[in-house]
Amino acid sequence: MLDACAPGARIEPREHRNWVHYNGQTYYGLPLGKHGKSRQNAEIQKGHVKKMARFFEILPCAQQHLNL
Amino acid sequence: MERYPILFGRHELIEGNGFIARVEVHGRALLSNEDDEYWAEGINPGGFAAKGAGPGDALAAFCEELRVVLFDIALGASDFAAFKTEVERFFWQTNQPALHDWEAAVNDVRDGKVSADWLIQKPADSPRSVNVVLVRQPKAVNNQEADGAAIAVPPKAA
Repeated sequence: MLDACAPGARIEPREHRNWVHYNGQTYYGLPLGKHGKSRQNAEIQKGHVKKMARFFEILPCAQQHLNL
Repeated sequence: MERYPILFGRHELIEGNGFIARVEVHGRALLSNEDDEYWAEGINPGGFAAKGAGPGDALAAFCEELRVVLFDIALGASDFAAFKTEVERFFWQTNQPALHDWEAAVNDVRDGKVSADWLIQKPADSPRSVNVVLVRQPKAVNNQEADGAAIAVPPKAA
């Protein structure tokens, strides 16, 4: 979704949350997912992804790629 | 949609790498009910959100989430100056879509469409601020109760 809707976005795993950088802004609160940092593409509750997409103003695009 | 314009105050004591900092925040958040869950979205600071089964649960989770973001900032900061810079960046990064809804929610309060008698009221134009203080000498008198959460109401006309 990020590749399509937020090209250039970068996910930075931190100790407690993922930070997502895009367009000069940072989303600080994306959960690490059910299995924390040990797994790539961990499942993250869609509500959090929706809030992040709204923050980056890419929600309409994100909804075309995910069931948000 | 059920939504509330929230003003909140928090004081947090955060341990960093070689320092202790007190973070005093007076910010804004949007509390709303979506899909049978309550969500609190940060506006200032922006870039995080939390949910709960009820409005009180969502606000409590929001406060805990704020602490967790500060923990991550502290872990990545080599010193107090770096911590202060990142916390201030975090705070002043406005969540514009949520701010748009927050302002609409203030109008809903004015029009009587929203009432939250479980919250105290504060003017919507109450100042927002972040203050990051290096704690050189801890003193008990610095312990203060934070403001908690309030619902933003339209400011009185001058």
